[in-house]
This record gives sequence, structure tokens and C-alpha cells, in this order.
Amino acid sequence: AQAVKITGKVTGEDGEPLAGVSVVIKGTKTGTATNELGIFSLSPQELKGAIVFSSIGFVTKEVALGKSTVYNTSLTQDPQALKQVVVVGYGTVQRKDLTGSVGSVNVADLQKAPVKSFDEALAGRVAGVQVTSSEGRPGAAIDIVIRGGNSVTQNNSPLYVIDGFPMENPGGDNESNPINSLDPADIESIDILKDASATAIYGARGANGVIVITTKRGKAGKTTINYNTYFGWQESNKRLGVLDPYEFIKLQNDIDPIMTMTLYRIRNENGVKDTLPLEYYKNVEGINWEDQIMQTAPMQSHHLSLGGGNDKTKFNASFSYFDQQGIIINSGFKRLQGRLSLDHNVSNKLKVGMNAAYANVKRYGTPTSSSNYNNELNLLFSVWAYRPITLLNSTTNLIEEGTDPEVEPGFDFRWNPVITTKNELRENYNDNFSINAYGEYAILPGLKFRSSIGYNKSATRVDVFNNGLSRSGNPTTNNRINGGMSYINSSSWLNENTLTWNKKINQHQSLSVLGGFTMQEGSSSLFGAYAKLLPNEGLGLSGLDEGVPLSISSTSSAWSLASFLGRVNYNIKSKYLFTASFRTDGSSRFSNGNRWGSFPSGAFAWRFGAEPFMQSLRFVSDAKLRTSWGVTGNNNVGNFSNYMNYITPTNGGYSFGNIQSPGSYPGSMGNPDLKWERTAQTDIGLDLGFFNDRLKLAVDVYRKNTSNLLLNASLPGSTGYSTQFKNIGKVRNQGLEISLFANVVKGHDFNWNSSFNISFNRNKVLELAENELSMLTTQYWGDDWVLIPAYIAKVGAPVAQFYGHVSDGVYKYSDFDKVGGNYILKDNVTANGEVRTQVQPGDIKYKDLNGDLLIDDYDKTVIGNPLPVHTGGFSNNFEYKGFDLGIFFQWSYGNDIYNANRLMLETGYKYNTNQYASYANHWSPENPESNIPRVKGTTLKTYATWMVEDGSFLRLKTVQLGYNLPQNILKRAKINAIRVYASAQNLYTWTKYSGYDPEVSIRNSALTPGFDYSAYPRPKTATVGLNVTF
Amino acid sequence: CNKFLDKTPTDFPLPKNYFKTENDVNTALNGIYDPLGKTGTYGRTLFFELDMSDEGFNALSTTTIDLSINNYNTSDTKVNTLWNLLYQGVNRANVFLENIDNKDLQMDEDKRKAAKGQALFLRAYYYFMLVSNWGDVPVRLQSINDVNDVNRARMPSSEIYAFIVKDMEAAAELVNPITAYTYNSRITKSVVWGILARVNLKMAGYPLNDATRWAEARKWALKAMEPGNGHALNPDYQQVFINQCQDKYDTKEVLWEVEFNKVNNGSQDEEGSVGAINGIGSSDRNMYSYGAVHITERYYRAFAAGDLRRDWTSNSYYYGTVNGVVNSKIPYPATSIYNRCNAKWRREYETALPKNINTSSINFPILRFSDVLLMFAEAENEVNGGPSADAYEAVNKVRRRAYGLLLPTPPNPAIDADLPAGLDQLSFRDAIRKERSLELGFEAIRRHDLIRWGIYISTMKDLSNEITTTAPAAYKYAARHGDNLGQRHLLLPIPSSEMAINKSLVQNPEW
Repeated sequence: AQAVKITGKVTGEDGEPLAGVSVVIKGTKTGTATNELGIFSLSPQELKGAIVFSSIGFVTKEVALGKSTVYNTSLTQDPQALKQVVVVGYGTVQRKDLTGSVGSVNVADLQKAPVKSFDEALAGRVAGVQVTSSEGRPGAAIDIVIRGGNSVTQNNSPLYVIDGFPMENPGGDNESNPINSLDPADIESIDILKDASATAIYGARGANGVIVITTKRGKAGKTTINYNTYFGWQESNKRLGVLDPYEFIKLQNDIDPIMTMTLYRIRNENGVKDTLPLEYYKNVEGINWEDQIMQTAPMQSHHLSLGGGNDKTKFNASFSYFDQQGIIINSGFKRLQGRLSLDHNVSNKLKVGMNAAYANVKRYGTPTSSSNYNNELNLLFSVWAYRPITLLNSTTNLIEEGTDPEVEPGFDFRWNPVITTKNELRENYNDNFSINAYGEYAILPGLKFRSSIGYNKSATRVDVFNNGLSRSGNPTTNNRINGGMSYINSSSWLNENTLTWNKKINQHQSLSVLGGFTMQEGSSSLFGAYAKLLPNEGLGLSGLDEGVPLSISSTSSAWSLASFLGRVNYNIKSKYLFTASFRTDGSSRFSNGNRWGSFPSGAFAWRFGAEPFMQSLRFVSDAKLRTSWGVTGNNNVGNFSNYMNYITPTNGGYSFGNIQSPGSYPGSMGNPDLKWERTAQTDIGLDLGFFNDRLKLAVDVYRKNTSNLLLNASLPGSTGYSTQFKNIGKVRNQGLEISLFANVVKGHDFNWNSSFNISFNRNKVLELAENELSMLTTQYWGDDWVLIPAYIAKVGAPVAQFYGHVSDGVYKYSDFDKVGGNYILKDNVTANGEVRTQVQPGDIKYKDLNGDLLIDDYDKTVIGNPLPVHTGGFSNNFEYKGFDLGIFFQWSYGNDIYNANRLMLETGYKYNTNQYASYANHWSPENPESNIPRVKGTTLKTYATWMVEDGSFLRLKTVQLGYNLPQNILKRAKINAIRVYASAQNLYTWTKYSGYDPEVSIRNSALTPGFDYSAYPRPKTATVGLNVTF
Repeated sequence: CNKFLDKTPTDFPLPKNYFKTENDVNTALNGIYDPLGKTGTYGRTLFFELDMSDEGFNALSTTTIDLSINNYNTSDTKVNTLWNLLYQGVNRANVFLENIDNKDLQMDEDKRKAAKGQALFLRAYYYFMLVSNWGDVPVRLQSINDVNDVNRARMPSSEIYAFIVKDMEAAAELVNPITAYTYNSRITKSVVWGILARVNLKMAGYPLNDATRWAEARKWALKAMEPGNGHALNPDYQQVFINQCQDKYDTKEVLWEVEFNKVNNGSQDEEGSVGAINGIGSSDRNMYSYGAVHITERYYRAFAAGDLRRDWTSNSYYYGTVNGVVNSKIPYPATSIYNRCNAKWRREYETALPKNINTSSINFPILRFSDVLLMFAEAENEVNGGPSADAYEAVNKVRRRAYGLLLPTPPNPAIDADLPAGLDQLSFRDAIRKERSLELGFEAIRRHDLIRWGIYISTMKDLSNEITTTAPAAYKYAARHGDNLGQRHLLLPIPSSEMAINKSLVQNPEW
């Protein structure tokens, strides 16, 4: 047949021509693309069938071929694609026009996780975002680090911008964590700004990345009411397992056979004494303290929202209640929250709006891992180490006694964990209120002025009460019944003024310019009062006034920040995209000369997918290359670190003639030269879409160089100070991020989407203070350990690596000469840090790296790497008719964990102290082949390889199965939608780690990651839920 | 805009606004005294872990790595803490001395002088503790004001002692006499003179061995003994320590003591642990004590019959329940020696309430008049090549009190407490050395005396042998201090944390 030539013009809804639209004769390979004027020409074999017009961001359109040879058409924007708007600093941008590296969280997916706040479900969702949860306690600190930590001694938390309000360090164990105040169901979008092009607009606070959270606002149309609820159960059935009564007695016998004979073996029944064999205890049932302290804990969530409006006014309101009990008794998290947003168009030119939110959050329960005075004070130590049985001739019921009668309180800090957990009150209440209002005025078409003002106030109360049955309030303590309350208040206000100018220069070029000025000011204060010897226990904290004052604390602080910002976006044909931004910040935290810092960035992106030469590769639906460079800052330092401060602490005085007088002294020397920490980041990214974007790939490589580190540098004791902030040192992070999305199956009834991301980050210290080659850091988990380095930051290596001795099993008989009845260490065998004569067979052995036959600090080396090689997530969503199933996996690979629990529970260091079941196999003369040290054979306090474990894991993190009831049933009930679902969180974890959970990092900081001691176990959660929309 | 960004600290005064009033000066001065009473100094370490000698031993038998048994390394917490606290005192004094002569300070001139003298003395005393424990140490006589100024080399001991003496002598002119106060925790002329005697004795001994210092020591001891100062021995030896338990001040007997006081939060840094870590072991909450220092048999046997100090320095009884009466005093059998504790400070006498378990508010003596008398006698014997009548008299005063002869009704009035007449220089020297131990036992003096006399290692090794052969099996571990002792223990190691940052330092030998 004779080919016919057809032509046409494709425009958008606004009549503007669309370039690069794919025009294909349906079912054939004949096709082309529109030119810059939106015009195409094509020669089909016959004028039959249809032409398919498709372009990214538009609804694909089919036009039947008829007799005509001219086919002008317009494409409507794809509402799906409208969702592809990315919220960036002080504006939004279409993803296709984005020059920077911004990760958007699939919020719908994230909301499937039954968690109190989004950060608990963020891990593995976005490449380059590493989420570390310290432990499993409800409301526990969650540390988010974007593209690796820049700072060494300071917080690496990103800047959070919630509905336009920037907040520094809101995460962590901060009492007033605003993330805890935010119900995940209220979130509309989460965008994570990663490269400097995206973050530099936040200048001095952008270096750690920015998380931009937007909450839901009203949409024009029918008013909808939605009620979403779920109920669930959490539990951890992982038990670390301690010695059973028989193994416990065997251990006691190894430690002290004489005492064991008296206490556990000589039975005295009615004056008749007999001696029991150890085997007697094989039939004795012990107390399982882990079972006693853990529970199957309920959780529930209710979320009610109301939204709607018309062209002029839109509103959205929500109210929610969340209640999660902890899997350790008497702990949990509760939240009551309400939000309201209003948007109103006063005129064509003026738009105003506001939103307000209030949340009341209660966290409660004995912290399991925060005691540092003595590591035996941590709750789970008492759980594991408490005796499973009482003395042979004793009628004491250990479960009911506050202390073990065999524990000497001066030397041993164990206390019945069940009783203390039930009797100590640890409650944090936080009220968080925020309000934002804005006005937007269109001065001219394309020129818009926006001004906003926001205010955030947080009030926290921390209640502590120790009654007479608790560990710190029982009659043997100095303070007896005691308690106290602390009030922490903080507030900040923000004013932002921006002018935006959008100009279409001509058909091919457009320009968008933003300029602005912002001011933010904050203040905080703390007041606390504690009293002891309270006479009326029943009054609880109301009786504080009757006691003897113990201490009063009162502090306050303030800061302010003023900034000028600007950004230019220049776009040629939606193919060549340029962005430049600039911000200058002035901060009250720095002295006059160093006060202002400037943070420029530039980016260029090339959508080469729209170039003619790509048209032949029709399976490539989109392709973009992004490059950016920029400088951002970090001002993470104390509000007044630049000043020398005279402090007058209560324990800084002295007494003369029985009269106590206060004393003052400079608490720190101050450093007026402090200035911003600077991070320069380069990013190269590639975005590719295939098969009409059914397969999408994004790859980014980046390098961040941080210099002028705000380092809380150690000072030598001879200066009279311990630390002082200074700008010194350099750190580099570089990495690779890959994200992949696939619409694997797209059918009428069945749909399968899959997404995958993986991130690699390498962290390297380039320079430390004063040409230091390494910096040692201790982990303060007990007074004994306060000066023993656990981590090393070495120039040329990551900022944190485990540091200690290399284990070498235990001493065997062959290491000794037997002289008389004594074992004397052979002259060529190294001692283990103990005096040579004290070293005995079965004692722990370390590698003598320098060969001087001594084990000391010179034999310490790097013994593990707490930073993962790669982390990532893998998510699959299936839809079949009304059913949907989401399965999400998350992993971390290549990181090590310090399992410090084993230092206390696999060393047999103390009598009447239980140990892990694994310790049953310890070295003894009867078990001479064992490599687990004998009782009391691990005396040198040191970190060593035997307690370093592989912390890699793959977790089946979230599973949700849902069913949407068919419309025909609902219509009769006048209900828009009903969805029932079941979700599970942390369902299964594949790991070699022997502790409760490999996702652990108590006392986390950039220098001290991956430490586990008495960490709260992480629950598995199963919930059923219902979501109704009217 | 800059005004918006000017924030003034809300929680502490700015240095430029400080040191304007007498109150500021007094508060800052208290801050210089503060390190004396910390757990890491006289709150515990100096009279417990660091005071182990032939008199007693750490009876916490489960301790395996500790300063008290000479098994520790360069990152030892207690060594590190002591170092840091002493330098904190130095730094606070430096800042104080840089501001005390401010023109705009409104203060009475005499008070200003007295305050300055106290700061000057305390700084010198902190350096004396540093140099006697560590040898050559870095010296700062100005406060640090540049964060990068961290490297400081060690100053030779001789130079350190020279400025210690110089500053103390200057301070003696500035501070008030002890008669100005009703208590003895303040730095007074008596304190300065007595400590000058102690410093000079140390300089005359190991390691400087500067024999010219004997005369200086003698001079300062004599100065403190001048009748006008009002110092005299308390007739009752045990009352000296009971007073300390009861927060009573005997400014005649005790020239200087570290004062501890009840604080609401029961902090050991303010209350100390005199009598709670040492003292007679008891788990009763009203006299709780770890009883962690036990006496050696050698020291016990060194007391002659009739010397009342023996059964006060150690306990002849222990607490137990007899016929249902708790805390009954049960006498030890004569053969039980190693069980006995350092019992100089007994919590049963403590009056301040409430009594805390791990802390007490019992004061600790740094300088007693009997020490001054014995220092005088020791120096006199060296200066004159033998004991003079004055030297004899000084020692005998101490001994007569020890045998109860100064009491209104002496238990044994006929006893002759005096040293035998006609001792030559060497015998008198030995007698003084012994007398110092008998009189000043467990008062954080013996170990330093042994070191300055150059007999620390030999004495302890000898003692270890003795314990290993004669002590009951359960107390053989008392030999650990001597067993582990080596040449390097004559000085403490410079803490590893200091070595890591202060790059101008060289570690002490063998550490």
C-alpha cells in the first residue's frame, strides 16, 4: 500500500506546544516525536487503527485514524504525574525539572507500617538515608544520617522542615521531639534533600541534608470524612537465655566451691543435714526473669480526619490517638494529636492560609540502657544476672523480694528488675503546639510575594518517682522515697519573606527567580526540683513539698538566626536546566567577625532523553543527567560556646566552719574564633526511565568534603579544662546510591510494583586536631569504662572503628610450667594484662602485637567496623481486584556491633550472678578444650574481638494485606470506601547477631555507633485495621 | 540585623562582668578550694588508693587492677582524675590571680590581700602535689586563652619547687593568722608555714636531696611552733579524730583540714568518704563503712605497750549482734590482726544527720601540730648532726600524749613515754621515722615519707615477704602492693589522655 503522510500539532491544555511527544501508530513500529513546535509528521501504511500520543507527565491519548491527514490534539496532564511535584526549599518543582538530588518517600507505602512516627518506618525507603534506631523502646531515639556523617563530635542529624518550619536536631532522645508529635497518617509528602544544589538554600543548617515534611491540606471537592484505626499486639519472643538452675549451680561451684557447699548443697531439713549432689538442681525449676519482665503488649491507633472545600476555601482537620505499650512491663508511648489547616483565596491576587497543630505525648517506663554510673544498674543486666533460684534452705521468694538477700548493696547494684520496673515512675509528658500562617500576593502575573510567620512551643515535664519498693527509693538507700519534676520549655518563632518571579522569556526559555529574607529566634529554659525522704509515699509527686530538698536545676538559653537567600532556575526547552542558589546566614552562636557565612551552589541538568538522537531508543522514555556542586554549613555547637563561662555548680563550692559556701570557676575557656563548619559536595546523577516509565532507575554518586569541623576537641588535663569547641579537621564522605522502580505487571486485575534501593557510603577522616593521627573515644556505660577507649578515628580511615585487643582464646595448660602445684607462665608466653604470676590456665588471652610479652595499650588495634558497607530496602506491592499486599524488606550489610552484654554475662566474674547460657561451656579443668575464659578469667577491662559481632541483617520489616470492599456494596451504605487490613512490623530478621536485635546503637553518636548494652528488645508487631471514608 | 544576632548568655555571667565585688572574689576563691574535697583527691583517692604503705592494705580482696595494689596502667581512672583535678585547681587559681588586682574591684584591701594569698598558696600546694606524685610536670602560671595552646613541656622539679617555695613564702605574708578563724579549713599563716616545712623536707629528700633545705624546714616548723600562734597538742589523741567526726574544730591541734559537709544530694564530691571507705566495716546504715583499709601486722606490732594510739588507729573490736543487741562491740582475739581496720575515723561518732551510706561529712586532717613537731625534730637532727634537747622535747611531747600522760587522769601515770636519751643522729632519725608512722598513720603521709627517705621499695618488698610467710592464708593478698611494686611506681604515670594531646611531654621512666 501507499504510505500516507499525516501531520499534526500537539499542545498542552494551555495551548502551548509540547515537544518530544511520542507519536506511534498503534500496534506498529511506525512512530516519531514532536518537534519543538509540537509538530509531527508520520507516514503510516494505511489510515486505519489509531495514533498513540504519549509523553511523560501526560495522560496517554489514542486518536482514531480516519480520512483526515491532520491530527491536532492536546494532552492533559497526568494526575499521577502531578504527584511528581517535589517540595524543595521555599518552593516546589516538577520532578522532571529537578536539577538536584532529592529522594521522595513513597508515603502511601510508609503509612502501611504500624508505627507511631514516620522515622520508625523510614529505614530502607530512600537511598542515601541511613536510619539507626538506638533500641526497641517505644519512643526511643532514632538517628537519621543522610549520605554519611560529616561531623565528628557533633550531631549529624539533618535539618527538618515541617510545613516550612525548620527545626534543628529535633530527633534523638530529645524530650520535645516534634517527630513524635506527628501522626504518620497526617503526612502528605516527605522529600529528602541530599545534594548541595538542593540543600544550599538552607545554608548554614543544610550540610547534614534536609527532610522536608508537608502535612495534608484540604482539597476542593466533596467533603470527606475518614476514620482509620488499627489494633495490634507486640511481642519479642527472642530470649537470650541464661543458665538454668543446674548450670547456674555448676558455675557457682566453679567460682567458689566452699561457699556453694554452704549455700546450695548442705540441706537442713528439721535439723537433719545432708549434702546434695549438683545434679539435684537438674530437677529444680528456676525463675525465668526474661519472661517475668516481658509482656505481649497491645497497641492501638485511631485517626479521624475531615477535609474538603471549594475553589475559594479549603480545609483539613484531623484528630488522632495512639497508644502503644512496651514489651517490657510498665513502659510505653501515648499520643493525642490534632491538626487544622485552612487555605483561602481572598481574591485572584491574595491567598492566605494557616495551619495549627497540637500534640500531647507521653512516654513512660524505666530506661533499660541509660545508667552510666555503674553498668550493673542497667535494667536488663539485672534481668539476666539475677539468680534463678534462692538458697537451698531459704524460703525467700526471689520474685517478691526487692533485693536478693545475697547481694551486698555496696558492691552490687542488682535489684529485683520486676519490682523496680513496677515501682519506679519515669514519665515524660510533652505538649507541642505550632502555628503557621501565610499570605501570598500576586503583584504581577508571575511575580509573587509570600510572607509567613510561624511559632512553635514545646513544654515538657519529666516526672521521676521512686517509691519504697524501687531500686533507688527503698529503705536501704540514702534518699529513701524520692522524686522530682523537671520542666523544659522551648519556643521559637520564624518569619520568612520571599519574592518569586516566574518568567517565560520566550517559547524555549523560562526563568524563575527567588529572593528572600528570614529571621528565626529561639529560647529554652529548664527548671527542675527534686526532693528526698518523702514521708507520704501515697501522695506521689504531690508530696514533694513534704520531703527534704535534694536539688534544684535551672538553666536557660537563646539563639537567633537571620538569613538572606536567593535562587535562580533557568530552563531551556525543559532540556537544559540550570539552578544556582545562594544563602547567607548570620548566627548568634558566633562572635562578630565570624558571624556571617555564605553558602553558594550551582547545578546543571540535561534531559538528554528529549534530544532527537534519543528518539530512536524508544524504550527509553526519559533520561536526565544531573550535576551539582555547592557548599553548606553546620552550626551545631552550643548557643554560647564562644564565651568563657563562670559557673557556680552546687558541687563546686567548699565549706568553712560547717557553713557551705558556693564556689565558681570557668567551666570552659570559650573560643571566640568559632565559625561555621563547611561541607562542599559534588553530585552526579543519572535518572532513566524505560518502557514508558514502567522501569525507572536513578543513580547518584557524590563526594562531600567537610572542613573547619566544629570539633569538641579534647584538651590536655594540664590546661585545667577537658574539652573546647574549635574548628579543626576534615572529613570526607563519598558514595553511590541506586534506586530502581519497576511496574512489573500492569493488568486489569493484577498489578505489581517493585522498588529497590541500595546505598554505599565511605567515610574517611582526612585531618584531625593538631596533626593528630588518631582520636580515641570511650563509651561511658560504666564508671570502670570511662577511660578505656572503645573507638578510634584515624586519619585515612572511617570516623568510627572499634578499637581494642585481639582475642586469642584462653591460656591452655601447655602455656605453663607446673612448679609444685602451681602453674607458672612460660617465659616466652605473654601475660594478659594481669601480673604474670596471676595468669592461670583458662584465663583470657590476647594477641601480643608488639611482642613485648605484655598486653597493654600498645597492643590495641582496630577490631571492627561499625559502619555498614551498604544498606537498602526492597519493596513490593501487589494488587489483585480489591486486595493489596505490600511487602517491605530492609537490610544493613557489613557493620559490626559491640555486644558489651557479653562482657558482663560471659565472664563469670561474680558469685551469685547468673550468666548467659552460652557460658556453660566455659573453660574449667574438666573442660580444658573450651575457648571461653574460666570464671573470673577476664579481669583486664578492655574491648576485644571476642565481643565484636557481625551486625548485618535482612529484615522483613513491613507486611500489609488489605482489602477494599467493592463499590456496589458501599454505595448502598453511602460510604465511599472501606478498607480492612492486617499489618505486621519486624516480622522476621535474618542475622548472625546473638543479641536481641542487630538494629541497635545505644549512646549513639558519630564517634560511638553500634554499641549494645542492655538495649530494649525490638518487638514484632501484628495489627488489624479498618479504614472508612465517608 | 547584628543587634538581632547579639545574644548575651543567660545562664552565666560574662567574664568582663565578673570580679567586681567582694562576693565574686569569695565565690571564685571557694572554687579554688573545691578540688581539695573531691573524690579524686582528699574525698577518697589521696587517703585510700594512694595511701597504701607498710601501715595498711586495700582489703577489697576482689580488686585485681587498681592503684592501691600497684597494678594499673597509664589510662588509670584515678590517676587521670587526680591529675585533672589538681590542674583544675591551678587553672582556677590562675584565672583568679589574673583578676584579683583589677582596678574596678570594690573590696577592702586587707581582704583582697588575704584572698590573693590563699589563691597563691593553693596553686603552689596543687603543684606540690603534682611534683611529688609525678616529678617534672608541665607548669602554667597563666590561664590558657588560646584553644591551640595545648603543648607544654615538663618543667624540671627543682624549678617547680623553687617557685612553690617562693609563692608560699609570699602567701605567708598575705594570709591571716589562724586566730582570725574559729575553724581550720582556711589557708592561714600556720598552714603556710607548716606546709613550707613539709615542702622543704621533701626537697631535702628524694629525689632532689638538697641538704640545704633541712635548715629551711627547721625554720618554718619553728615558725609554726611559735607560742603566739596558739598551737598545742590536744591532750587526748583519739579526741582529735572524734572532733573531725563531729565537725568540731580544734585549731590548736589541727592546722589544716579538708572540710566536708552535708549536702542535700549526698554527693561524695562534697561529703567525702572519710570513715565510709576506711573506718570500721559495718553494713548498718548509721555507721556504714566498707572497712576497706586493714592494718598490717607489722604496723600493729610497732606500737609499744601502753601506746594508746594503736587501738585508735585500728579497732580492737568489731560490730555484731550479741543477745539480740545489734552493733554490740565484740573484742577481737589477740591473734586476729589482719581483720582490723584503719579505725581513726569511726562513724559511730559522726553527728551530722542523716548519715549516708557511701559518704560521710567527716573532715580529713592535712596538717596536724604533732606533724609540725616531728618535722622540726627531724630537721633539727639533720641540721645539727644529732638530736638537740629541743628535738627531743618535740618528739617527747608527741609521745607523752600518745601514752595518755596529758590526760587529766592518765591510764598509766608511771609510764615513761620519752625516747631514750643519748641517741646518735642515726638512731634518732630512725626513731623519728617510726614515730611519724605511729602518730600520723593513715593520714596520707607515710608513703610520701618512705619515698623521700628513699626506702619505699625496700620497705615494701620486705613487708611483702613477711606477709607471704606469716599472714593467714586469707590475707596473703595483702602482699600485692609490695609484690607489684617496681621502680616505676616511685612516680605516677602521666595520664594517657594528657600524653595523647600534649605532644611536648615525655612519659615517666618505665611507664
